[in-house]
Amino acid sequence: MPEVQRMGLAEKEQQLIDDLNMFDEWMDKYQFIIDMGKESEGLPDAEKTDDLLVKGCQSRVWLKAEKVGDVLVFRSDSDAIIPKGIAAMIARLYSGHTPEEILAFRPTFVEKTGLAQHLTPTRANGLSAILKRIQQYALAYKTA
Amino acid sequence: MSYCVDISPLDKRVECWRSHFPQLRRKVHGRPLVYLDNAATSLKPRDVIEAVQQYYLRDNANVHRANHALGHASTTVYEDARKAVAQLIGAAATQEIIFTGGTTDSINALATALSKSYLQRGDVVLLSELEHHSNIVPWLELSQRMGIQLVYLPIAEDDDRVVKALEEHIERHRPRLLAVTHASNLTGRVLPIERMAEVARQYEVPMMVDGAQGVVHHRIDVAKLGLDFYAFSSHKLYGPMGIGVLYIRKKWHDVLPPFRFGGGMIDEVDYQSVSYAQAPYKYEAGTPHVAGAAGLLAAVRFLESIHWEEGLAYEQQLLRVAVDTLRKVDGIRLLGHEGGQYDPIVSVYAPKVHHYDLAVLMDQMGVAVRAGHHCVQPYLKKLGLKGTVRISLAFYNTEEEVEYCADALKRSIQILTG
Ligand SMILES: Cc1ncc(COP(=O)(O)O)c(C=O)c1O
Repeated sequence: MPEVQRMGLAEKEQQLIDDLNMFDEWMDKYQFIIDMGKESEGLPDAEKTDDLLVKGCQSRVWLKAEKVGDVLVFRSDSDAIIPKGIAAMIARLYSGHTPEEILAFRPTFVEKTGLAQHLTPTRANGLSAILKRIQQYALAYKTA
Repeated sequence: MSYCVDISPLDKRVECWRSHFPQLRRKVHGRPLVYLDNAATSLKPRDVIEAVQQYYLRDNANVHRANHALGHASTTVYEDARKAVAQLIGAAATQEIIFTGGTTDSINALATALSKSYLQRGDVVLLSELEHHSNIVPWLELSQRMGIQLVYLPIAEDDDRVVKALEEHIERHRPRLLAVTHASNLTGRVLPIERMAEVARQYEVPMMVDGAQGVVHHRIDVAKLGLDFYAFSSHKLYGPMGIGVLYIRKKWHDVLPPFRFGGGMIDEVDYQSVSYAQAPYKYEAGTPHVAGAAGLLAAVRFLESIHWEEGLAYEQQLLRVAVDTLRKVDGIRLLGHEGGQYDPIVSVYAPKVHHYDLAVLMDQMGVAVRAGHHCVQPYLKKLGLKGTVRISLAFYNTEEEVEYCADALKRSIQILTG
């Protein structure tokens, strides 16, 4: 997907916002997220190690980062499908960008899609935990 | 005072009960709320809400030793609540009712007090395998701190086997305390506590019952049962959060030392010495949750005024509908409900679907259920499960709500596996 990679983070985020906001009904937004979860390849069991677990999620969510050339590639998994979809959505957004780009980027999709208001606080915490983990990876790879 | 008592048929009666719970009128995600998370906390009747409000609007003052009108009014409410609770659970004396912060607080307090006066290194505390973390962790803490041992009683579906296992465990382990739940907050299973209390009495093993769930669905009589301790929370019994009860049988009042120290619990203080007040005051240090007591009092009065027994009988009827309806949902399994006695709580799980996903979608459909481990991790692990979706009923729930919930569950499973 070379086009996607040329796109900036802000542009990609806008696309994600448009995708989610296409649906008026929340059930449809969830269906979209569930579909993302089902399409996500996830991680092989051997890679689902405890150090990749994102703390603060109600279900188990694993997030893995690798550096490919200059950019980071994120892969994720969860034992529940909705978090898996959300993690996959976020992994896709941030994959293909340098640590510096990621660290400079301030995501707004959580507010703009209504995810923030719509998720219960524990779930919203889970989501922000995933975002925080992305930042931590970016920081680690930047200094590494 | 009586509410709704002359109304028939039953569905009109339930409608009348419902009209006393303001939250039942609200919507979530644009849909009427279907509240089936009663085991976590119940909704509150208007009388309770107003009693708390009235307390602050009119009577608020600190309790005891007050020599003014408001202090007197406040003390009266607080002590009336104690009397009402004593009556509700069949305590022989009002001073056997200790107000605490809730079930967890009660059990912690009891564990602390027992650790200072009664339990010793190597002593066995016998629990059931179905306990809530609140009735495990305080004892685990004692086991780590002072080396008491915990033994867990298996709970079969058949009461006879439970009683037999209890006898065997007592014979084998000679526990110094039996501490079991009245009913499981995970499966709804009601333990045969009458018969267990009988066995405990025969062997002279003191018995504590975690009544967090049981008190909500049974008329109990702690004196008749001969229980030593009984703990519960107001908030699951239609009362306010932040207050609960520890029943301490009178014969323990001289054995159990206070577990918290400060104002209100003393007889006489000098710079270097102190003597304590009599129970219940020696167990209640500091300013208590008087507004909570006012609300709890209103809750007890409310239950009497609707002829609570009829609500309890209806809950059982609703439970049968729930079990039958849920059994018909493809792709899920129920925990238990195969013959033993149950309170209106049903845990289900779908082998192919994560309980978390189910609860998210059901919430979207307006159904409030709880997903997770419900603070019963050891037992779930034994079953090889990570969690369940728990449907817990109250007398203000309807058959339509139960059916809507089952349908929401079915649709959610279809969405998630489709
Ligand atoms: C059986 C049981 N024990 C103890 C508790 C703890 O009650 P609380 O959180 O009110 O202290 C609960 C509540 O979930 C319960 O269901």
